[in-house]
Amino acid sequence: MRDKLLKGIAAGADKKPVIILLVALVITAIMGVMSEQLRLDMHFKNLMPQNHPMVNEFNRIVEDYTSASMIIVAATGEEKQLKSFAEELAPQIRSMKNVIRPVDVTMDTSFINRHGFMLQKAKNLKNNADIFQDLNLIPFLTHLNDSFEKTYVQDEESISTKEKENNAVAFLDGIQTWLTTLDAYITGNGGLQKAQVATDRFLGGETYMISQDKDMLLMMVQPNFTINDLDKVLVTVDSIDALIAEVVKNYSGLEAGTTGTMALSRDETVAASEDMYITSIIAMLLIIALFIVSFRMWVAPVLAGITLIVGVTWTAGFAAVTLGSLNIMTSMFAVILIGLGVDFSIHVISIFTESRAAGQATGKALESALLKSGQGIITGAFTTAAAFYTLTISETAGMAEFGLLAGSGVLFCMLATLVVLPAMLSLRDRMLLRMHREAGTARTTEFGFLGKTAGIIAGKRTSFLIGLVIATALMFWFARQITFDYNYLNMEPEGLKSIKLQHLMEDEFEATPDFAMITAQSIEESRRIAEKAKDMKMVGMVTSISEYIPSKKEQRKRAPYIEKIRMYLKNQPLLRGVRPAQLEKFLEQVCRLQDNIIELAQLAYLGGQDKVDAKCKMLAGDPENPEDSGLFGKLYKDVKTDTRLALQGVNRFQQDIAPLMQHKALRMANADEITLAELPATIADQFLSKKGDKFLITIYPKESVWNFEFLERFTDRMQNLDPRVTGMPLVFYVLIQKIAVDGRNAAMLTLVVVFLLLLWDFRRVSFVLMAMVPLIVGAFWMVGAMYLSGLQLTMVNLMGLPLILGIGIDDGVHLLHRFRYEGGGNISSVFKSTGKAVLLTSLTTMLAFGSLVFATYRGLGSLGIALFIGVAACFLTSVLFLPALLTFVKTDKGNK
Amino acid sequence: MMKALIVLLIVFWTGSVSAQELSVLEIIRKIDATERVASSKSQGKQIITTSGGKKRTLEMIAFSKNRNEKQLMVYTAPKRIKGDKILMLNEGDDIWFYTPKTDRVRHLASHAKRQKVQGSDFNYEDMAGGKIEEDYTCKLLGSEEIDGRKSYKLELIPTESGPHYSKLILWADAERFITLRIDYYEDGELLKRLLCKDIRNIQGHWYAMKLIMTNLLEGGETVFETEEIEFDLELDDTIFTTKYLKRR
Repeated sequence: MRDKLLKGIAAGADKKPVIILLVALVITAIMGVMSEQLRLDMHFKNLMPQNHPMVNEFNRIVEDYTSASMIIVAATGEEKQLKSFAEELAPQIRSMKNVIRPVDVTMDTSFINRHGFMLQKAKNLKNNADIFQDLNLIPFLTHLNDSFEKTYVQDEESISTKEKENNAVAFLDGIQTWLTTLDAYITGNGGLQKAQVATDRFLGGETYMISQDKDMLLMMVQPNFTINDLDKVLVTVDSIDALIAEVVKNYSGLEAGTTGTMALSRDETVAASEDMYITSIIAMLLIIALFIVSFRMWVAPVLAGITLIVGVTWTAGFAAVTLGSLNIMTSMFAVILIGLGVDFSIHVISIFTESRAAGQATGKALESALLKSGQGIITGAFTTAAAFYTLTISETAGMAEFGLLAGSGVLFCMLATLVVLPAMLSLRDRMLLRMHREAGTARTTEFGFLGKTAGIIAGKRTSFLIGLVIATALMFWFARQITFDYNYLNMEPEGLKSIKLQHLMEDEFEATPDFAMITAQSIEESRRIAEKAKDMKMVGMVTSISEYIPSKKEQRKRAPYIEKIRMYLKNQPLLRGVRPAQLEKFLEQVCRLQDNIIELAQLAYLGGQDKVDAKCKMLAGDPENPEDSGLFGKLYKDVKTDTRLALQGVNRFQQDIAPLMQHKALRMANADEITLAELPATIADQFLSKKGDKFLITIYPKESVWNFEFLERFTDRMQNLDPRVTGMPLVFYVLIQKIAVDGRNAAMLTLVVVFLLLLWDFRRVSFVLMAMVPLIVGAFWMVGAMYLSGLQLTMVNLMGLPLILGIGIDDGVHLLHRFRYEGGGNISSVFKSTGKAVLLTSLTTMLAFGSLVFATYRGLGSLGIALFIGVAACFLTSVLFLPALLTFVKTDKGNK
Repeated sequence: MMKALIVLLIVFWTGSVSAQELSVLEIIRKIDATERVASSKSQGKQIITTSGGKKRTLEMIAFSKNRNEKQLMVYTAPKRIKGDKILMLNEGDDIWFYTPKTDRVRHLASHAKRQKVQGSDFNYEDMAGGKIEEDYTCKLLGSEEIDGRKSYKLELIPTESGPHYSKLILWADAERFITLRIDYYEDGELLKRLLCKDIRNIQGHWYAMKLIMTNLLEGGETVFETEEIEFDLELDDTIFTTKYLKRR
């Protein structure tokens, strides 16, 4: 049946090559046009099972909360330049049509100005109220010190969580600005503007989103589309990057770019797209080079290349219709098809040129080529495709889609090889005949060593089999030692600007994108969940709307302290100048403040609170560096330089800052109840769904979630906290679990399917087992060799295991077919001839997979190396095991 | 110091009976009688994890008296904290801090006993003294091997005035009568595990030179290592005063 079909194809190609090629061209053109619709979406969320509740919830949040789709402009440099750059850039971004809300350069202070004190805990208000009793500098500093000691020095718990640590840093930051301004006045450089900044920072904190050491600034850009709208993401992020590039020219020493999920998505898409083209071209070039070296003929690679392009184009068109977009796993389909599909052409061209060289006519040579290689090609293609198709049982969308695409792609390549290639070979012969030229003969490089080796192994089969079993046992032991790299970041492209900026942002702001998210139905529920999360040791920080709307009970508790502050501020004593005799008293309080900060620094060091320690160092100097006396050292030095001038400065400072403090604090001392309606959009949008009926809680882990043990515990604790929880790390955790199960199931099913297909093909169990032994042993060798090469299993290269079971079987199939075709007997000649083709096909596949190393996506590189090793392992096990095993088989001469 | 305190507590909990037929009460009393030391002076180190994820080793000399009722820690390294002292009186209810950098003694707020000791996975109440007989209702669950040593497995349910945990499971060496392991439960969940390693006999006292507390629920580990320890010293009461803190 198959022979008849193959003979028919050969005859058709011989007689009507032009018609066949024209039909193929039309189909290819149509599929090519369709493939233009194919998009790349590299977010690992796309690999997750369809309709998984965690993914559904993740997608709902992305759609429901505008804050989930932000473009972050991140800049590094000197503080003044950073702020000026942000102010210049912001209006230009605002004028873009896809940006709906004013770009946030500074935080919305209107709400803080109205309710600043109501947002502070009752305990802190109690400690801080007296600060506002008398804004004359000496009593102010005395009360500030009292408050400092009560809040921080006498209560080490006040910096025990990340949130408390951040609050302490904000408080110290306010003191730093206040002292810096005081020093400016002392040196004659003060002014109302500086006093206003000091007041704002002291009472309300920093308004710019700037890092603790003031060398990184962020701007939040809110687009009017979500991350799911990839086309708009690409255009908008590109436009913002162009604006940044233009503005940044005016600021030397400043660097800026975009980051956040949208910028990452753009960069990943661009990188993946480049990867697809670059790796495909590299694979193609390497294979052509191999062809030229081994066949000494330039036409063969051209024809094989055209056949491949046809097969890949048909597959791309198929992908556009069935999948619509490619993900991190399916994006490498072209390289995989180049590696696998070219093998079919090698077999056909090899035998065709041999037959022509032997003097056969074109038609007869085509028939020979298809009959001799067609059986193996069809079986090989179907077994490989079946192995890929087994992946479609996977729950993970990434693996299932890859299985469908790669399986179909192999069949498309087989079809192109059996239909298009013979027609091209026939047409080429015709053209050469018309030009009265002889068709070039492929002068293949001899691979006699394969035949000789096979002969030796067959001759000493027992010794070789014992040796191979020992080697396999060793490789099995090594394979068991291999570890898994759970860090998804190691899969991502290296060197992308958005990723670099993101890492920098994580360091500077401890703002990782790796957080958990829960949506609550009410503010009260939001508060309950947030409070429970804050109690967890593994949680670093929690943000929820309840931070801005304290409970009624809590607000009632805070109100009396706010009233007290208000009363103090309304009944301020008159400002009294600091007299020369009082300068010492004033400096005593400054010195007390310094001591308090030093003690806080020591407690922070003992408790491991790095951020507080670092901030204290800026103020009080580095305790490990006697030369560094910090801001206080400078202040004392400036006072000593000219005491009279210093006193004037202190008095001017008091005159300027006291009324400003009184005015601002009075506005903040508002005991009215805070309601949801009062929240400004900039704050509400972070927590409130578009319909305003759900409330987002974001939970940041204390340490990197890419430590798998931590991720496992974090996921478990978060799911205990609330089963609705979602977020990138949790989605990733579920994905890893699913991939492990899918990979194992697919591998088992592949073995069963391969077994059945081989049984259908060979119809003898002994042949099936012989084909499968090198395959299974090869898989162990592959993992063992990966371990020996220092590689780890990854989420992406794990897929290589079921793949290699489908790919690696081809070697044995071709060798066994040839063995049967030759009627058994001469093992050396089987390996000399077909062994050569098997070696070449293995090399082409290895080169194609190896080209993935050039992908910027390191995950693809890890798969490429794994498959490179896997194909080599399967080739080795085939040419080492089969010669020994075949000696046990008796084949009938007529079993062709 | 912390280590010494914890070990004292462990010792306090550990029973010293050689036969299964002893009642739980007898085991506990035996533990108390054998291992509660009047005073100690130790030199050791504590390894903590900072909020930035770095490991930091703090070296110290620790003194304790009246079975942990009075404790003093004097930090010796790194240079940054050399001379810093923490004094705990009344089983941790009163805490003072001194640093030579300001030469001031600060009274820190009284800590709820369940709060964590700075940078560690230990709570203050893990380190506090107190009689096991008074703080727990105990049950002998049987015997098991821990690190190759036969040990008694005891269930300790805190009394109303006892620690905040819902349950402790304690394994005590059946020959040496020192705690080998404690599992801490909170609301039925296994919260953390203390492992006592490198047990040596010093001045007739069995003592664990290395304590590892692992937070099993949320991760994290604190290690206390004792390098030297002396027991039953005549420690002057003045050591445990705020005045002494200022002494160089």
